[in-house]
Amino acid sequence: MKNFLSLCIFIFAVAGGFVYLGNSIPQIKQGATGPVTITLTVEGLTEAGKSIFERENSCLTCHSLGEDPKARCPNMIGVGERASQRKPGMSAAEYFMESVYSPDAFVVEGYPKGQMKPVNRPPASLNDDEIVAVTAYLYSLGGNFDQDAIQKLATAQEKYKKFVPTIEVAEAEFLMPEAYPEDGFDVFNEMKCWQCHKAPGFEDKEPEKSAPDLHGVAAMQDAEYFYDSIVFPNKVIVKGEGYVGEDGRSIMPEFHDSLTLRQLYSLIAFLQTLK
Amino acid sequence: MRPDCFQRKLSFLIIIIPLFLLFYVACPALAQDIKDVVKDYRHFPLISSRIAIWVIAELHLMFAAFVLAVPMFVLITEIIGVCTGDEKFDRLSKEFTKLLPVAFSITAIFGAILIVMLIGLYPKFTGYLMEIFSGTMYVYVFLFFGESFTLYAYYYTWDRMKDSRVTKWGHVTIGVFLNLFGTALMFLANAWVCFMMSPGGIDENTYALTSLWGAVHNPLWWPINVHRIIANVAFGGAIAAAYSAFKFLGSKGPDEKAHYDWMAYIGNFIATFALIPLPFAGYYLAFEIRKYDFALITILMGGSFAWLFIIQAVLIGVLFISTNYYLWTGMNKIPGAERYKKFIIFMLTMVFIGIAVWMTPHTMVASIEEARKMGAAHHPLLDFFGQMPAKNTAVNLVILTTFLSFVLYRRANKVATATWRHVGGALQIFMFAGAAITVLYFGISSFPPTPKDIAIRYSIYQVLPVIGCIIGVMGIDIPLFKKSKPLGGIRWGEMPVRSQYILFLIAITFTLLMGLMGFVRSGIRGPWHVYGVMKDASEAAFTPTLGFATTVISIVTVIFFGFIAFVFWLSQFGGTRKE
Ligand code: HEC
Ligand code: HEC
Repeated sequence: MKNFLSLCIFIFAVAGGFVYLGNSIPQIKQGATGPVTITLTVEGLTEAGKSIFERENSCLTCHSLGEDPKARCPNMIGVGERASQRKPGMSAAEYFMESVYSPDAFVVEGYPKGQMKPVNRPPASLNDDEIVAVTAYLYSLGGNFDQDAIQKLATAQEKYKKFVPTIEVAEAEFLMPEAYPEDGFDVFNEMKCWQCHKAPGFEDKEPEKSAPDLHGVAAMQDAEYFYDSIVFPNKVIVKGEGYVGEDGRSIMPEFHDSLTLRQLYSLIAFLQTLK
Repeated sequence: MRPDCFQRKLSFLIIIIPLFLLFYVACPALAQDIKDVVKDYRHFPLISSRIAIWVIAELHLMFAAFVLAVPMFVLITEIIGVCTGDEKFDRLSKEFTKLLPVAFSITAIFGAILIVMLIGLYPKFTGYLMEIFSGTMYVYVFLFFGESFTLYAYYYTWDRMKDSRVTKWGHVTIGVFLNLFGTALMFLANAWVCFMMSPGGIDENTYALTSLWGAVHNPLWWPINVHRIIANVAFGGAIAAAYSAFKFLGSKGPDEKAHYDWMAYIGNFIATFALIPLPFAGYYLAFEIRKYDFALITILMGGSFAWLFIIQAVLIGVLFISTNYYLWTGMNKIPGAERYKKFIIFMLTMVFIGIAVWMTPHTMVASIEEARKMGAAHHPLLDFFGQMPAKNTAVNLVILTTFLSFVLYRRANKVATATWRHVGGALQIFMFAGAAITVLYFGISSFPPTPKDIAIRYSIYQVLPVIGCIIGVMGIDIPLFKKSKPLGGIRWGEMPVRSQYILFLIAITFTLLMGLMGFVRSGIRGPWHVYGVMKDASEAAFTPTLGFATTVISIVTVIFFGFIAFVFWLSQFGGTRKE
């Protein structure tokens, strides 16, 4: 019984010590972030942008505001000035929008690709207005942010706002958004294109049905053509033994519904490497 | 009343009472919501839903860890017993197994409470998880039956299957199945938890399930599986050692003392053995988190959680120092150990320095206000020792030192007589020195300006020689001392009382550590139920301060030990030991 009691005291003492330790360090409550009020004035935007940038687990976790040799991600001081020189032919506003919506389009030298996630997607999940605000704030860090610049940001954002909707492939120029051939390779595998097609990297697979060999296909065809071949196989039917079914249509399934946009782009990017 | 019967009645009671309690607490919660059934959240009286779930989940997890780990090493000690024919091992295995039935019921009860509370308090979130994982629930139920069945069979057939060699191996087979079921069960539960951190197998836009396997096999699943298995074994070993210490303190004769001293030694040995690879498993997990989402790792290492790692380092320091201390006090009962006493001060210094370096934070935020003032997420005083290379070096050296303690303990009462003993000994020294020098060399070379990716590669070059040294030294040690000259038997049972408290300290520290790391693992995903998919919209969407978290964790730990004491106490009734 005596042992039992002293053990109890011991357990309480150790647990108490732990609580003491836990309370002896700075106490930081990592806040739930409420919505930010944004007014469409120069001050209103930069103020709101600043609070978005600095709030917990937001941009400031990675980026710094000041020289820090060991910082993991770019220092933002002066970025407003740098932005217009980052990419030839791109204005500061355009560059900001691109770097937050599509961070891998241009990767700042010395930093790896893929670390920053598009800010309109989780976990940041900023909405369009918040994105204008946060880019406005960055603009103001070394740049001359004025009424005019608000307009520029808004215009630059337009493109990304309708990032997902239809692309008029038939007439207009086929713009390729971010896509990586490596991902396309995976899609090719997942969608089992190899069941019919031969392609580099799938040498171990023996096609079950007859279809064109895709080795070197990019030497002759471009992205637009690939888009059609995948989404509307019947638009142009390649001639060949067993390529069409009894109904006269290509045996290749239409991939309207089974591919996400990104998968489609990646797939096309992959096909484009097959020179 | 026969003790068996008594135990059964009690098990019944421990199942029924919490269910009643649960019902009682749940009543207001149920009543409150008949009006509007569409709520996303319900409130738990007095302590809020978040804390309620936290406490119950944590208790469930701790018991589950115990119930998973004990069969693992019991199986090993049973097999050792069968192979060596040493009755002692069989007795030890059975004695630990005796703890299982009650612990298992408690685990299941907490599991049931957890499910009921999740459905009741977080209906929307739970609904989503069910939507994704409903396919796995049947598997879970099946595994659960499998585990209960094998567990009870394992325990109740122990004596009956002991007599012939054939049935004994049959018994071992039951043990193997018990472990398979238990591990699979944990893997499945891990999948759910990891899904909340790194969801996979769902559509990027609608978040609907596209592949169940993708959801189960999400990016952090394996790292967590590996980490948890190892940690569970360490935890189970530590609790088992605490059990032995508890019995040791209460034992009457020297025989009993000797038995429990030996048992504690085995338990602690298992805990230490599992503790050694644990930091590596932790780094593996961190690498994978980094690969999955860089923001998560910055939150983990660079935000205010950086402070948490100081507490973690203190706890791990306590573990390593206590373990070494326990081994060193144990040397007093070993004739011949005087020969190694002089090394202890050196090892002690090594461990202390190592832990101190490890504790030095890399990135420190005093507060978010300070970060704003500094204009950076990083403290200007990033010093040399706060760097990852220094930490890796320190950890590896501490591990080497602990291993050295163990090697010395092993040989304390033996004199090698093998003809090649000098060569063997020299080789061992060479391996130790080689490993230490390699660790230091790569540690120093991986400081900046060495690029990060190369430094990461170097950290692997540091780990490999340490693992190599452990394997190599043991490979020599075992044959070297096989036919050694003993300097007298180990006087089991001659342990000071304080050494038993050290065992308790280790067990408590493990428990606290588990709670703490669970907090940060869950905390880094911030205000999300499912990271990037489902936002936490409740009032508790913030991450509490560390002081608050440590308080909750301590309370849970105390409750856990309360229950454990109950399990220990109960286990003495079901036994076959004749008093
Ligand atoms: C996970 C860490 C991380 C987070 C969080 C993060 N970034 Fe980044 N950011 C990076 C990295 C790494 C780069 C450099 C590589 C690149 O250009 O993609 C970068 C580059 C940028 C650039 C281009 C900088 C330049 O000098 O050209 C801008 C602008 C930017 N981030 C804005 C933001 C904003 C706004 C947020 C908050 C909503 C944010 N970032 C959150 C990691 C992060
Ligand atoms: C059921 C078999 C089958 C599957 C599966 C299939 N295809 Fe096809 N594919 C064909 C046939 C047959 C043709 C030739 C007839 C035509 O033009 O539609 C073709 C034509 C093509 C062409 C044009 C080739 C050329 O030489 O002009 C491309 C590009 C192509 N497929 C890509 C893909 C991709 C990418 C996938 C996977 C998403 C895929 N295919 C899946 C059968 C298939």
